[in-house]
Amino acid sequence: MGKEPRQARKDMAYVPQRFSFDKSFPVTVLEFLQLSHPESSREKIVRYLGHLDMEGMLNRKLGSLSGGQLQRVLVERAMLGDPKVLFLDEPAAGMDIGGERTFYELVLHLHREHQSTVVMVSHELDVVARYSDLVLCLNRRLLCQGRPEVALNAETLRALYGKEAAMYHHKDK
Amino acid sequence: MTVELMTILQLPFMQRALMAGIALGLILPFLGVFVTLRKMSFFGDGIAHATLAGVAIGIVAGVSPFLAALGIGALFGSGVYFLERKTNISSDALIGVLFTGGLALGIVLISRRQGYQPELLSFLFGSILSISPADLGVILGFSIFIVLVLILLSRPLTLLALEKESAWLYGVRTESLDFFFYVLLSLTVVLGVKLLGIILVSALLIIPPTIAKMLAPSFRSLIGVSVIAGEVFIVLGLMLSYWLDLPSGATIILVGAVVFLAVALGQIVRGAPIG
Repeated sequence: MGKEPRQARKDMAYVPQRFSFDKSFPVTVLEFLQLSHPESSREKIVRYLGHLDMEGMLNRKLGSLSGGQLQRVLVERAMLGDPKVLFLDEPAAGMDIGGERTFYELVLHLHREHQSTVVMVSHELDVVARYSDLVLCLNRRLLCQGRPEVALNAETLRALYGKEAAMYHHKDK
Repeated sequence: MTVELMTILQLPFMQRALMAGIALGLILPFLGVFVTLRKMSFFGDGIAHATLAGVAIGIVAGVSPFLAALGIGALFGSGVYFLERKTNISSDALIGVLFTGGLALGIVLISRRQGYQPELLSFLFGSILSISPADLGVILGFSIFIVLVLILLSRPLTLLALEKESAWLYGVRTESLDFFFYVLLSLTVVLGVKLLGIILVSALLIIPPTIAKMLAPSFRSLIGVSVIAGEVFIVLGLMLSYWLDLPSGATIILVGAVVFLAVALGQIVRGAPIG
């Protein structure tokens, strides 16, 4: 964006890997979202929660949510500012496999609906292969780049994860 | 009873103590919400102790001890802020060193004066009689300023207390707000010293929000319950201290501690979380 980080804050949103806060902090989901985006109307907040199947959570305390529910609230918080670029840092850490799948489907949906660019850090190759348009493989230096089906080859995997790593395709793929 | 109450309210020193108490019952529990959420209770206690250095310097230099204490309090608060960032010494160790040092300096300076003990005791434990009209003016003036600031800054202060990194992402100037919070907290604690005493003032910063945290379903209600609890403790404590001829600061805090115990026991009976 060519701006100083302070100026670029409005165009970007970030969902951290872990949001460490005092779980006994009695702040409701609605209050948390209003504090982060005082310009957003209650209607907009409720509408966005609806996209995440979280309508019933409005008056729940933030500290009482499960890991997956909290990540959804953090995604909503990020999306409420209608960012041009959404950064996700291993956002599904700590979720079970079912929750993780639903979560990435949701991110994909938001990306399509809001036309936001999503930049995601992930160690999970199946997620990268399934959901991304463009991959950058980093292990101290740039090891590969391009579309996932091109970039994620046996040679790259060895460079990333060592000699023992290899690719196995599922029969149905 | 009503006649007795009217008589108490006509006493000028009681009127001043009540007015100062009501102002303090608003700002200490309000700011205390952020203090307890940020786990900075020891900071409030420490600032109060260091205040004695300011009081002593005021007495020795012949200026108002209360104003000198406000200045020294703000200085100590700023000192902790900068040393936390410039050294690797942990925050609690820093507070422990600076504030016991300040307290010791205060005792040494005051002990040089003849008949220092009553004055020392009045600052250590607070006194209902000690609030002069000038002190009341200072307490009310600062309290109005502090309440306005807290209302205006409650959004960024809440985000900062919740999580610093994400507060920055949502437009909060985290470092300058942090510094401002330290100074504001220092001033607020010093304002409470005359009525509640150096040793007890931080209790009004901690007990009301801790009770409120057990009961409040939302952040807005956390602030509301905390302030209401603070006001009830002050008014009830002042009345009891007059009727039973007890020290005012200690009676106020004792009322708070009893209510805290009752609420905590209630939570245990209901099987609800404590804290």
